[in-house]
Amino acid sequence: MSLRELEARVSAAKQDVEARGETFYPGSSRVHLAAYPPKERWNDWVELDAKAWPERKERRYVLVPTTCFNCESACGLLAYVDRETLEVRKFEGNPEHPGSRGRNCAKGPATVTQITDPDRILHPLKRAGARGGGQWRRVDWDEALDDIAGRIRKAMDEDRHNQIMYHVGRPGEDGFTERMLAAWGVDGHNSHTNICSSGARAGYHFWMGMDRPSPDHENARVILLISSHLEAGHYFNPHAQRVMEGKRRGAKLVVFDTRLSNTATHADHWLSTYPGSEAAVLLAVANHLLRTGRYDKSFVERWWNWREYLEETRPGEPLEFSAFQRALEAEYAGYTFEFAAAESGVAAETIARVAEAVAEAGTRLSTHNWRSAAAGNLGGWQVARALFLLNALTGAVAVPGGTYPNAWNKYVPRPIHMPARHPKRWNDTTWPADYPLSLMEMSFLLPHLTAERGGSLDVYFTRVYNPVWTNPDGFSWIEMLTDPERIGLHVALTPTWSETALFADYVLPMGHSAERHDVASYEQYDGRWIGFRQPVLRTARERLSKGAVSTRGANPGEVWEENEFWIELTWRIDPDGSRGIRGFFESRERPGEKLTVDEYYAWMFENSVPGLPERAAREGLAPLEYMRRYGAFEIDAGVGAVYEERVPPGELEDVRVDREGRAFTRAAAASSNNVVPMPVVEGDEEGRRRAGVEVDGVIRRGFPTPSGRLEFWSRTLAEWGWPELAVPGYSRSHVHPQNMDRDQMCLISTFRLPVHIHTRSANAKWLNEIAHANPVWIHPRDAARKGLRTGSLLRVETEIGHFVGKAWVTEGIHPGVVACSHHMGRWRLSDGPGQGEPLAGAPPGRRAEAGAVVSLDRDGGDWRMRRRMNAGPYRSADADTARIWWTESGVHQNMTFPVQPDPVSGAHCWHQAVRVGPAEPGDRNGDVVVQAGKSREAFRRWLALARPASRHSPDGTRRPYWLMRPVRPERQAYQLPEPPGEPA
Amino acid sequence: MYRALGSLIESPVAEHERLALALGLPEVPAATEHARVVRMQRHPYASVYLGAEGMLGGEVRDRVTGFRRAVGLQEEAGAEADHLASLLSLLASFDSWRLEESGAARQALLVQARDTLAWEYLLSWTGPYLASFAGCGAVFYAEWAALLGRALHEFCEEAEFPGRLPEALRTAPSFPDPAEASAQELVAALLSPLQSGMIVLRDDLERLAEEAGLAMRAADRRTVVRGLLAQEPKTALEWFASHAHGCAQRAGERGPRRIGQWWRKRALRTADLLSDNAARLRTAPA
Repeated sequence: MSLRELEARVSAAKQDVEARGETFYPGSSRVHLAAYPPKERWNDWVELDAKAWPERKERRYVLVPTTCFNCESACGLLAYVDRETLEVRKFEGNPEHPGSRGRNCAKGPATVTQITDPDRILHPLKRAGARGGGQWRRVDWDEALDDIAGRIRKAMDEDRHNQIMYHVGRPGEDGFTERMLAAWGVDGHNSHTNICSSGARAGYHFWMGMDRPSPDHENARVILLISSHLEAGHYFNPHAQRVMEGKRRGAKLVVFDTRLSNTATHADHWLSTYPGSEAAVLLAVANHLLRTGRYDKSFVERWWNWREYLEETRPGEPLEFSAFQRALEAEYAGYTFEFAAAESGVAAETIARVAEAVAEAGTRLSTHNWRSAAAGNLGGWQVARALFLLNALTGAVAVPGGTYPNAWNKYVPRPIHMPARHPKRWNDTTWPADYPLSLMEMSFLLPHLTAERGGSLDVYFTRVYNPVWTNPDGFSWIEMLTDPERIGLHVALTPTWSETALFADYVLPMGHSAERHDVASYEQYDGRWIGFRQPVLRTARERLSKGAVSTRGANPGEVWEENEFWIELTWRIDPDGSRGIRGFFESRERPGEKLTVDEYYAWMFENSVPGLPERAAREGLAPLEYMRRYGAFEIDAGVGAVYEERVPPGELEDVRVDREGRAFTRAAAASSNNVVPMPVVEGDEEGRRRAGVEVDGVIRRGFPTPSGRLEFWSRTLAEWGWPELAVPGYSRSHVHPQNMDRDQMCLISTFRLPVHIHTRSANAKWLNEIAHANPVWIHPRDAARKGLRTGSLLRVETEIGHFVGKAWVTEGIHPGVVACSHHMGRWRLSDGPGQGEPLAGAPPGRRAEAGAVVSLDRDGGDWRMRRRMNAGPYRSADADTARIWWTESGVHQNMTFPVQPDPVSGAHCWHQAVRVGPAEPGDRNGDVVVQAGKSREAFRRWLALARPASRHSPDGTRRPYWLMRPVRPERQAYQLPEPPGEPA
Repeated sequence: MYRALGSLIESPVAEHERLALALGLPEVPAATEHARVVRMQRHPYASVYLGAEGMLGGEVRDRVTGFRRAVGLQEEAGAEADHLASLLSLLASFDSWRLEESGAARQALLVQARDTLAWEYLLSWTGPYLASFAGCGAVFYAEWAALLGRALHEFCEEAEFPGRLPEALRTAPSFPDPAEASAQELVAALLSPLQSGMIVLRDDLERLAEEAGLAMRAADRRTVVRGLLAQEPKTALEWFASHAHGCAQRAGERGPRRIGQWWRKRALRTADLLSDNAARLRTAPA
């Protein structure tokens, strides 16, 4: 046969195979990611059992996709479910997932160790003795549901809605629970965000209306990270692979990080900035762009709200762009390289080189800040604002290689029921009027606010959240959680034991990533996708025709999922529908019956995800079947600069354009099934809604800010008490040398260890083996001065107490700064499995794998935590627990941090001014001591920095209405009480 | 077809069966056969045959990666850019892209890039490499090698190549004179196809040991060769000289004549040097 005939035969075979939706070329990992099992064989995949070696034993699997639930990236996973035993044997990446593209970090595959952890919670538990006493009894779900629903119903009937609170750590889903709270009419959403990302997000929110950056690293010329984002942080796996692709294309990587992180080691320019000085350096770069004229003047003229700035701050100047340019240059003229060098400790020449790289990048400048400096410092939110100034100056906004606003790279499908109702009451405990501009709930102040203002919660859910361990000032949380006057009933919804669950009344086991349903979508490149988390054993059973079961029926023990739990709980709160709540959780197909998760997601995928029904039909599948099979769907890519889009004529009717160029219309907005959270864009006084903003004589979509443009000058900040901070700027942090005593150092406490993720990885044995200690990084000069060596015990004194840890002497830290990862120091109060599950069968001398067993002692107002037993081996159903070789488990430093709320963003400012020295006689590794009185003093001192709405609100409301807010109450609830009450 | 042929040099998977069927090849062998014939002996990487050290990676792989980048390819080739499957896949891609391209200038550039890839990184080594499958004892791979050889031969007839030899061959270090080289240098040169002009497989060494009645250590090839030379240097050198002659005879069977000549000359020179030294050993005083 001739070669041409052979070639024709290959082509014909290829067409034939691919027409069936199957894989022709198996590919190779060296070319692309086709080395994954071909998708048409996911129902029956055969592999040799590695553990059976040298015997060649075949294992047959059904591969079921889900999404990881460890960090927020929602990377795709493929669960390998044994067809014979219906056990999950391992997890690998899902090549069909557009965000993670088949790749995972260590935490994804480690999910298998979480679901098989011998200590995991398998049954609902109810407290049997005093809170924190460690005594539990097993209850059935009905008992727990009836009890909890009864209390909630009673609170609602007595108009005590604000005593119901849901406090979430890792959401891992898009809006299900917020919509449920809206349906309940409860302003009880409380998140962890103000101890996490809200500082940076506030900075972005004030600039562009949307609160998260979506950098296009892959196409950038310069990638500027204010973080250790290649190894840890939000979306780091999807972002890291794109950063590396950008680098391969020649992009320069600039990393601001006080520590020599893994990320910094990959940088072309590593700037080890003194903590809190980042904005000064960024503004020096901005000044360089302005001085040398290398910024996108057309973009600035068209898209910045410079007219408002001139009118409000330079009333004498002509309303011309040239006047603004002069003013802009003057605004930043003081930020010289020398000034930035003096503030940051980074050489002026290095800053100049970075500035030049940024200037050369043009619009291909991708930047990112999530926590890091923004989460550490007083005024940290200004870091993100100064960072985005560089994008706004260079026009690198929603263009290839630039930074996009998240909401344009995210898709939240409209659900079957969308409660249009808003809570009638404002919750002052989470949204106190002291912090009117707080991006998110003042969650970490809860113990202080309830203690000092007399608030109480009747039903308090902690959901995949561990404030006792995660939040600052953890002893104040223990005080609150053990006080029945403040917390009536504490329900911990959690897949793992945690320090907070120890103090719960109910511990209700919720599933890990392979044991629950959720839909999530995150901004990871310029495109929009949804990922589907599903209980893989339930799906596998259905696929193998082994009988349909509920999620609870398929999961280990009685582990449940929240979707079904909340539906069930809501039905018990409103059993006859008379409260108008149950209807939001009723079936449409079977009126009067409960909504099932199958119907919920089938409806969503059929009706709200553009292109999915058609894509599924091509494979002869229903949309839900498609998502169960592939686990993810990309809606579109290359969304582009939405703000430039012309508003179509059909959306323009009786248009009015005001003097700022904002265009208002009477035409209804085009309907969208994407219900991604957005700020409120207010209409005009005559009842028109805002359609866009006029630029170049054309009405374009613009930005969802009050002005419709990028807000260089923020009227919101100016009018709500912070006129001096209305433009991107730099103010010295609370850990600036001028704000500390000479013998103090700055402690960086926020960084993650690459393989851990807060509380959730605590029961992953593989991850614990890799990382189980958090020594204190200290520079050799400081160590020599203080007589410390690597391994020395040292005492770190904060404002309210001290902790004892071990030193790690390294040049990878800025002199004058110490650093300690928050990812360690896990503890429990007794050595029983799971703190109180039946002890029968547990061997004596049992030890905790990840954390130490400690004692908690209270002497008046003082707390002391001391280790009684280190980590170590023990016998269990898992033979690996007998092989634990480490004893170190780190120190729980967060306990010793006072609350330090930023008065603008509301974010906790994590960095600490500390004194560091050798341990004192009697000190032991892991000791934590806190004086509660000092903790309260610190709270009051920081509270005094706030500018409350009662004194600074320009319109008698508690908070600018346009700002984003979870579970937004009805507008009337925004009004401050009459007469305006001064907070206590 | 190039892509299909490239895929078949990977570890066998179920999808290979329909590829083999389409190409008229025999039944796909088991993974163990692939390991014996390919993975453990005939490493399908350009760097092994075009690199001075005869080892994976190094400058050759960097050059292939650079070539991919120069033609605007950004997809992840990782550390395997010079794998035969990757190179053949890229060769096929150039033709697909050319068909999608409407501009004559772009089409010409794609043809030029395709021919450069073939000349510099494929044809420069596939001749001796494919010849090494003769007598490998695996029908599938012998036929695969013959078919790929045919396909590349036909490709050569249509393509336009530069007037000078591929870079790797032009700059190849010469085989050292065994009389002057250290034992270490000699062993390294014998196992570097680029230096010696011959491919020495583990099977070849076993044959040498058996024919000469020498003991063969269970170790890597370097250690084995060192051991063989230490036991009977004259016999071993003669055997290598004979092997080089055989390689020289097969070198011009497939592919561009100029490249074939280069490999032939190189192997013959090696044979001469080894024979001379073996003769000197014979006449040297005890």
